[in-house]
Formats: sequence, structure tokens, C-alpha cells
Amino acid sequence: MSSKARSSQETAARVKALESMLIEKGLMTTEMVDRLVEIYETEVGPQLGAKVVAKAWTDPDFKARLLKDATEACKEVGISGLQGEDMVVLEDTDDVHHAIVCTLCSCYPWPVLGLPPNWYKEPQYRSRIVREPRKVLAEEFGYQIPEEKEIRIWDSSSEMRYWVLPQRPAGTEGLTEDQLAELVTRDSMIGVGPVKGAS
Amino acid sequence: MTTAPMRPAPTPEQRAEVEELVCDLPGGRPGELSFDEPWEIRAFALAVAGHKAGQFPWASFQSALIESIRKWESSVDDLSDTSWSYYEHWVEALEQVLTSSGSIEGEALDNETDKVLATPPNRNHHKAHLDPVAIDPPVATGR
Repeated sequence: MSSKARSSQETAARVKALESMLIEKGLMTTEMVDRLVEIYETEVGPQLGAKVVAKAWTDPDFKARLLKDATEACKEVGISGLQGEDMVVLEDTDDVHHAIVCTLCSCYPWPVLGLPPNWYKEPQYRSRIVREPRKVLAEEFGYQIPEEKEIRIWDSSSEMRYWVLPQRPAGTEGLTEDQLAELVTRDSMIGVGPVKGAS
Repeated sequence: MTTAPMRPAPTPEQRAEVEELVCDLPGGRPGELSFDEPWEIRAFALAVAGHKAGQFPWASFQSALIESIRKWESSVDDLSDTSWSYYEHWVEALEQVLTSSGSIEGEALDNETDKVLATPPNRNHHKAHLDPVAIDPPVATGR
């Protein structure tokens, strides 16, 4: 079969089929494949979320548009990739901290965040972050949310994918947008970790 | 909880071990590996895992990849043709070595692929959830 004739979607399906056949035959384990993927998982996809966050921190009008309609605002900066599916950005404040999960599978805003980390897909995270969010953030991620802050957990589905706009750290007034983008971690946009330079 | 969701990050040694394999591939020099879509990294990992599991010698995969790329190059007028996809060739090469070693049967793979295509992704998870699924209220501090 000529590879030219295949669409990216067909190839993706073929890869999935290959993986399930190899695992079913016992020739390899999901674990083996996952461990290899982990080496490069932060390098998959456009990883554009950090740029969007930095832009929102420096441009109040853009931030307003982003919070109103993240899908449209992301298009402004050249991010699309999901058709008929909406992205919603949740803004962290002094009073509320947000984090995302997909309780059923692994729905994830990958056009902005790249590939989901393996733990995002694991049952432990999916169920426990809903039951005891404050404890999971502190114990599993070493991320202490001040007790006076409310924590909200949002369930992404394939129709609506959430991600988090973290708070801009204090003392970053002099930084450029590009410098600010460097502070934004993937985990801070999932809601399970701080941005760099934040206390 | 016995299994923490956060696993230790892969070590530089693990990465070096993989890159030693890929550095002799066309277009596979360290720093040049980049993945645009999730299936690409999955395909990448499958080939490395297959080799490590003893399914095929790395040299066979390497020649299959070179051959697939060579065929494409001779089929287009211009090497900047938009049908270029490095990982399409990667998948083709992987299929090639797995079918010739007898690990996978081509027809069975076609059937399995059709099954995957017929199953929409996240088929049970289409409904938008408009409210938070959990809220952990502030702890009363008595202030």
C-alpha cells in the first residue's frame, strides 16, 4: 500500500491497531511503550499554551477574549487543530485554583498543551483528583494550595476541553512576553504545578 | 496509594540509549526528532519497543525506513512535495519488519485498522461538562 494514499487519520488508526495487536500477542507491554513515550512526551505537539498565557498576562484585551472564547482567541495566534470542539480557559485568582482531569479517558487540550503526560491517563489520577483534590495536589505533585483557596476540578470531554490560565507571578513586571512564556510550565496549565518563579 | 501518578522523569541515560539507536537513521539525529501529532510518538515508541523486545534487528528497521523514503523520493517530481511525512515512512518500515518476521499478518492489521477507524475516539465522552466535577472549599481558618 502506498503511504501517499493514506491520510494522517488512517495512519494514526494503523498505529493504534499495530499497538493493540502487538500487545495482545504479548510481544510487548503498554508499559514498555509508555516508558519510551515519556522520554519525549514534552516534545510532542506545538506546546503553544505558554505563549498564549504570556500574551494574556500582558494584553488585557486578549485575556478578555481568551476567557470569553478560548477556541476563537487561540485561532488569533494561529492555534487550531480541533474541529467542532471547544476549549475553555479557566482563570486562577487569589480565591480560586483550577485543575483539569478527564474522568473517563484522556481528553486533553493537545493543540495547546501537546501530548498528555502518562499520569493524566492513569485511573489513580482520574479518580482521586476528584475525590480529594487538595490532598492529591499536595501529596502526589508536591503542590500546596493555600488553605484559604477554593479548588475547582473540571472534567474535560471530547466536546469541551479545559485548561488553566495560571496567575502571573509577582515581581515579573519588567519581563517581556517571551521571557514570561518561559515561566509557564505544562503542569501549571493543567493545574497540578506552579509556574516558575511563583512561590 | 501504592502507585503514584507522578513517575520519576526518564533519566538522561535512558534518553541517550534511545538516541544511540536513532542517530543512524535518516533524519533521526538527536535534536531533529520532533513530533507533530500524538500518533507519531506512539509509532516511534513502538519501533524502539519492538526492537528492544527482540522482534527485529535494528538494522532491518533502518533499511526498511531507508527503502520507504527512497521509494517516495523517486515517486515525486520535487522533494518539497507536500505528501512528505517522515513518520508515514516510519510506520511503513515498522509494518514491513513486523510482517516479514511473521509477528503481524498484513490482512489482520488491515482489519484491525478498519475497526479502529469505525470506532469514534472518546466514544463515551462526548457530553460537555459545564460545571466543575469537584470543589474543595477553602478550609476555615478562623480569621
